[in-house]
Amino acid sequence: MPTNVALRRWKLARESSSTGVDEALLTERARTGDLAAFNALVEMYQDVVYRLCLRMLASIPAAEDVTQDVFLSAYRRIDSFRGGVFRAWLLRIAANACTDELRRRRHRPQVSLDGAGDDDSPLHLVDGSESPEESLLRRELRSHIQAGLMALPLDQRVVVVLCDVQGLTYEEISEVLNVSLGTVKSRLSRGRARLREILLRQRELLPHPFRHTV
Amino acid sequence: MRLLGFRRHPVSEEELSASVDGRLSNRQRERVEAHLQSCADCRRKLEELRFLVAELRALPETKAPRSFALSPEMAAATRREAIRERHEERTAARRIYLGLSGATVAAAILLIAVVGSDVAFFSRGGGGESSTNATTTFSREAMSPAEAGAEADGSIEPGDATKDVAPGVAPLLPTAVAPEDRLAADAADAVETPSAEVAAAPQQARPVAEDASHLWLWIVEGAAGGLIVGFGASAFWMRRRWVQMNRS
Repeated sequence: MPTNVALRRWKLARESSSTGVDEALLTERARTGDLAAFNALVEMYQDVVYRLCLRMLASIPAAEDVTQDVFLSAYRRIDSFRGGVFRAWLLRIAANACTDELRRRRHRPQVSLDGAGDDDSPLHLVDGSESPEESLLRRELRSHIQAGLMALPLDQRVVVVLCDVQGLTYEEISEVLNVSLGTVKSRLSRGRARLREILLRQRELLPHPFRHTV
Repeated sequence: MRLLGFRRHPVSEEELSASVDGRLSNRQRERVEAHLQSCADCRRKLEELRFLVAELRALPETKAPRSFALSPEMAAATRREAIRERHEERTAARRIYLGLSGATVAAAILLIAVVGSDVAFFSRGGGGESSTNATTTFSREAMSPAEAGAEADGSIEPGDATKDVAPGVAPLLPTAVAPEDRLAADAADAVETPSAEVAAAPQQARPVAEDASHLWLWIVEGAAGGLIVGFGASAFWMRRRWVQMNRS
C-alpha cells in the first residue's frame, strides 16, 4: 500500500513540477482570451477536477455536469486568477461548485444517487489496473467507504477527499480552501474519525486483523 | 473499552491523524510513540486509521470520461453571459450609487432645514439680551399691545431704528393695530417704566422652555449629519466600484 501512496505523490509532483513553466505560459495566454491555451489547461487538469467532483457527489452524471461547469466558470473568471498555483485555484472553484450542487440537491432531494450504492457501479471498480477477479469483499468495502464519505459533513468531506483520495498536502489544501493549516488538520482528523466509526460498523468487510477486535 | 475514548487522553485524535501522515513535530512524535507503547486502544485506533487512509488512497483513480475542453461556441456563449452579467452588475451598482447620492442630498436638505429653523428659534429665544430691531418686531406681534408699547418706549433704546421699523411694519399689520399701538404707547407713557420690567420677565422665562426643543433640534441635526456622512461615504465607495467596473 505505501508504494501506491508514493506512486501517487510522485505522479502529482511530476504533474505540478514539469508543467510549471508551460503552465505559467498557458495561464498567461488563457488570460488574454486564447481558447486553445485554456483548453490545454483543461486537458491537464480535467482528471483531477473530475475525481474531486465524483468523490464529493458520488454520482457520475452530476460529476460530469459539475466538472463542465467548473471549466466554464474558470474560463469566465480567468481574469481573477492572479498567478499562484493554477491547480489550487481550479480546485477551489470545483470545491465550491460541489458544495453548491450538494446544497441544491438538499433542497430537492434526488431519488437515487445514480447507483452510488450499487456495488457494480464504476465508482467502485473501474480501474484499468484492477483485475475483474477483484474480490467481492473489496468492492463492497469500497462502496461502503464511498457511502461513508457521503455521510460526512461537507467541510470534512472535502478535506478528506483532497488529502486522502487526491493526495494533496495540508498546505495545498489550506490554499485550495482558503483556511488555516490548523483548520485543515482538525477537519481531517474529525472526518477520519467519523469515517473510521462508520467503517467499523461493518466489520465483516474489513480484513481479518480488524474483524475481531472489540 | 469504548469508554476509554471519553477519558482525557494524553494523545489527541488530531495527533493520531497527523501521525498517519507523518506530520507531527519531533516532540509530539516522541510523546505519541511513548504513549502507544502502553496503550493498546490507541494502537488499535491508529492501525484502523492507517487502514482507512490506505483504502481511501486505493480508490480507483478514475479518469475523466470525456474531454471537458470548451468548444468555440461554448466559449463564446459563456463570454456573452459574462458580459451580460457584468453589465447587470454595473447597472445595479449605478442604481445604488444614484440612490445613495439622492439620500445624501435629502439628508443635507433636512439638515439645512433643521439648522435654519434652529437659528430662527435661537435668535428669538435670545431676544432678551441682544435683540435686533427685526426680532423686536417679531415679538411684538406675540405680545399684547400694552407690552409691546411698553417695550417700544421702555426697554428698547429709543433709537431712530425703532421708529424706522415701526412704519415699515405698520402696513403689514391690520390697520386697526397701528392706532392701537400708538394708543398703547401713550398709555405706557402714563404708566412709566415699571411696566417695562414686568414685560421683560416672561421673556426671560422663555429660554428655559426652549432648552427642551433645542435638545431635540440638536438630536435631529446630529442624526442628519450622521446620515449625510454615512450615505455620502457609501455613495462615494459605490461610485468608485462602479468606475472600477467600467474600467475592467
